Amino acid sequence: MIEEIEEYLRDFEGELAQVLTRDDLNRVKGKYAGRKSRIPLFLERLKTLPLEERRIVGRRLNEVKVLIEERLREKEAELSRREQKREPVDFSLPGRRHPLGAFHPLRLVVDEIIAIFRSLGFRVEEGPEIETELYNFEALNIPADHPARDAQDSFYLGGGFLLRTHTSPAQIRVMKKLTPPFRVIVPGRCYRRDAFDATHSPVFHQVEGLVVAPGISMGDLKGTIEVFARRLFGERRKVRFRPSYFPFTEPSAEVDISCGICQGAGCRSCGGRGWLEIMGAGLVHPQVFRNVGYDPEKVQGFAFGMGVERIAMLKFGIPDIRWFFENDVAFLSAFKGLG
Amino acid sequence: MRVSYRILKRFLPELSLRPEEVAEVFMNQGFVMEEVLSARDLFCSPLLAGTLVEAHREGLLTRCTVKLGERTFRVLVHTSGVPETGSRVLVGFEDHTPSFLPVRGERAREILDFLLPLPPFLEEGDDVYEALIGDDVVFEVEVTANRGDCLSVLGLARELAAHCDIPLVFPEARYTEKPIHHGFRLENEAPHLCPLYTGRYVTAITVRPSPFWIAKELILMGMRPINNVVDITNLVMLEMGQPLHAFDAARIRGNLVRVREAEEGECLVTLDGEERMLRKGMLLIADADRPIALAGVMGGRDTEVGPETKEIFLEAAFFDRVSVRRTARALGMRTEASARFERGVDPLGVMRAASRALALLEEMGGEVASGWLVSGQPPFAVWEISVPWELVVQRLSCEVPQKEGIRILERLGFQVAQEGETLRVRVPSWRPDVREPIDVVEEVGRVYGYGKIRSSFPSFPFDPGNVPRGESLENRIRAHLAHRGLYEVVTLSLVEEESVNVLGFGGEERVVVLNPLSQEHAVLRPFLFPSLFEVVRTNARRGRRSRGFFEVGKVFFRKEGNFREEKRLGIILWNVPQPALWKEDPVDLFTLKGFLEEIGELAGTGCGAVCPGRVFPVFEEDGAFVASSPEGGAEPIGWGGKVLPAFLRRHDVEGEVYYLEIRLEGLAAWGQDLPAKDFVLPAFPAVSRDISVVVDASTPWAFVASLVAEEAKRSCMALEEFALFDVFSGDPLPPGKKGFAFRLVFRAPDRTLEDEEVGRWVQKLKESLKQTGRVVLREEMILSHE
Repeated sequence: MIEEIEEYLRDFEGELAQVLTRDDLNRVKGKYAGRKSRIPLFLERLKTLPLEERRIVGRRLNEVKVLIEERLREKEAELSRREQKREPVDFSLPGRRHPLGAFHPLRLVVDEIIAIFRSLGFRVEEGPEIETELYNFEALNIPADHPARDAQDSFYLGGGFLLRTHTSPAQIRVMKKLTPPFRVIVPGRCYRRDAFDATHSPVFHQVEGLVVAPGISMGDLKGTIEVFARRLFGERRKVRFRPSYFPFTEPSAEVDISCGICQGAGCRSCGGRGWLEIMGAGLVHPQVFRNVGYDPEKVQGFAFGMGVERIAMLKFGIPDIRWFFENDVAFLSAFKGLG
Repeated sequence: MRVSYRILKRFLPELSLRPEEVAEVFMNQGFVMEEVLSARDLFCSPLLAGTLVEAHREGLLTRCTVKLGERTFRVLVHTSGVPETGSRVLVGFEDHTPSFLPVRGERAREILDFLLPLPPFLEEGDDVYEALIGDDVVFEVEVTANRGDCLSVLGLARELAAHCDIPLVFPEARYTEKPIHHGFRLENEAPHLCPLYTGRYVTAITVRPSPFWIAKELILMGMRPINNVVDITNLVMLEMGQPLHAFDAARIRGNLVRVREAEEGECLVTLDGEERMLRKGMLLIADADRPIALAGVMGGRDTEVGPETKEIFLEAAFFDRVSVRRTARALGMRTEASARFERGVDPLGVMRAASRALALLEEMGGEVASGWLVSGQPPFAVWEISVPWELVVQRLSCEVPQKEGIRILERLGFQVAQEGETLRVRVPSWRPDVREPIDVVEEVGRVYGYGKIRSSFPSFPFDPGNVPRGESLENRIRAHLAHRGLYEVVTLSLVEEESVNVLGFGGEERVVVLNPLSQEHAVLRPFLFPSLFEVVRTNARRGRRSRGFFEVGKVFFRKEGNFREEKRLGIILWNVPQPALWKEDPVDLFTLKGFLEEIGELAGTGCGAVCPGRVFPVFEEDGAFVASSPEGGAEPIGWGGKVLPAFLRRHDVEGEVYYLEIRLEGLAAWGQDLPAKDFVLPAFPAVSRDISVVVDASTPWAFVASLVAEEAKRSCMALEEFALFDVFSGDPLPPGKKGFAFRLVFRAPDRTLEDEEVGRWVQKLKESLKQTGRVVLREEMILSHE
């Protein structure tokens, strides 16, 4: 008989688990706990058992009876809780929180450029913003009175010092400091005597790159820049090298990426050109190596320099360089959540 | 440099590329295409052939009647600009009004310089554009500083010849010499600045409008036609890259042409009518008495070729590029001629260009006197470079066939001799930029195509790529501040002088730009404050609101005569009364100090003592502080304060502004990497007790805090930490008093503390506080009240 009681309890548990409504509950209650349940029948049968057995089975029967009543009460409480809780929590209300600020888009871009090049084995160096004319020009194979200086009108500080017009003098500093082979980038601020307009600022930022090792070739330059450009702008972008001229590289190249909107076909956003210029690059000029005491027969190198503002403008679609330096909250808040 | 498709074709009869392909080739060979225009954009529309039917000469001016079908136009023209009566002349229309000029966008004038004659085969009323210009295309090509040779049709045509492997045809340069005596002499007193000077005498000149083809080509290449003689010198300059100058020979005094350096204070009125004050050492051309031209820059007005000119002295020279550049810059002039001399002209092309001009002058009726007037030699020495072919292939990372490379170099004008796997390359006179083997590599690569470079990756071992502590700390601080609701900004490091003055920063220590672009950007900032305050101002002006801004940037100053630059962190907080959307924490001096403490924790050391002190005069007297380094250095680590309301009012900024500047480099030197140690987690419970004390209002918390810390240490108490939780004043405290309430937490590493033991310690702390005579226990004070 004890097995029957246990089975009765199992059946009860099974059916109770299925209960979803008050009607279900009443049905289960009537079946297992009321006068019409099997409990009175068990009690009847109990009387027929021998005394010893009757005590054991009786105790168990009582336990089961109490347990069933308890479980039914619990279930009832659960149902009434569910019925009462008509209003759900309004999770559309704003959370209790601190407002977030944002990183500046120029710093976001520099941080990303640094991260990409670090992953390619480059180390990061810095150079001073107040430079000597010697490092800014002569050591880079740009003699005084050279027409190449026209594009780099400088702010002079006297005593042979100026505000660097590009990050390239850092090439000279890096080569004097390190021993090849090495891969380095140098992010930094530069100055040119250009009046403010939509595409010029007297203060701007560049990232310089320099790799020096025996046997470096244009292919190494191209391969590195391709990896970089695709990581920064997206895998679908194509990279194009065009010949150009910089006094401190030979051969020299301008690097373009295909327009993100038309993929090179030409559209309004790229002025119909299909390509957007992102940096100047080339193999390090032998004269630059000689200027720092390297033997251009033994080591070769490539260098590149990119304008951070230009890249940020391309990446985020910013039409005017002045916006970076005005720091209007309406502009800055657009970069929340980046970086 | 501007050039048209048809002009290029005059030099390259076999050119079969279409105009858009030509643009592509230029681009691929290193010439940025700034613009590709239809020739139609440059000329008036319509452009028709009229007939000059009547010309009444009235001295220097002539009244002309031009017939165009049913219509007749009366115009006043300079007499020298009037072709023969009965000839076809050009009638251009600008907005349906006849302008008689071919160029679009010129204003109609009352007196015309000339009527442009047209070839006689045109009928009156013919569309000149259709007949003589057609669908020509103009390329505006950017020429890099190393390629002076490409500031010419010849140079650009040579680039195409190399790409297409077709021959280059030089324009006609033959003329007949006549035995005419002229008596001109040449004196070159500055051969170091003018290694080669040549002159030719041409007589029987009639100054008139140029034939249409010359006028047309000048317009296509961006110059304006003036008269036949000047136009010829200009056209040849554009064709060959060699500037020429024609003097009116009759106005050169003493039949003498002298090349010499200017004396200080000499004057010359140049062609543009400006009087130029010359400085010593500028190179000029003079006659027996006076300067007549600025060598390589511009001619003088007095010897200009004009309507009366009958004979000319034609100059073709090689001037030193640095001298021309300096003179042009010093006088603020940049001419077509100076641009070419600055970049270097072809030393062997000087006389060839003169010959081309002589041939054209002869076509116009001029008679060329025999014999060159020459001073000096073309400054040219043969230059040969040995280039192992392996170098070309390796550096370019592409398998250029050697034959192809030789062909390219030869089409570019190089002479190539093959010696096994090495090329001996002789550089042409117009390419002084090619000096080393790598320059030859570039020439081959440029024309062969950068597109064929095979990508690779430099394969030496990777640098471990260690992030310096300063950089990582900077980035963690930036992230912290951005997450605390501040906007990062990037500002100009050049500021206005006045914005530095208000900070009381001394003149000697400033770094001043000697040639600023404007007064707004004249000084390098010695603090970040001026830049960050400007950000608040800009946003205030635009009605924006923000909690605040921060920037990591450099500041600049002089120390012991040397320039110094230092990396700083600036934080500016802006408390604007506004309808709050959510309950924000108040912003005050302690928000600022809170930032300082947080940054100290990020640096790994906490922050040092903060004492009252005003660094900027724009801070409130009693609302400013100086923070010292936790490691006790003499130099403060930062300073902050509340900006004077009067200063804010002056700049129309509402609300309150708080500012903090931290020397980031100093900070990065703090704290090092966490040393390895045996970690022990607390295993026994802590016991805490509160103490409340009353002191004079002038007593700082640090006084009480340091007493507690010292006593706990001296008496070996197991004091784990103690923290201030209240500062109170006013009733029931008497005026001039304030109270501190703080919590002490005791914990022993090895046992559970007994109440009694903790009680003894607390008592001991209380005693030692009382002993100073400056601290009263709050419970005792209230007792005495009651």
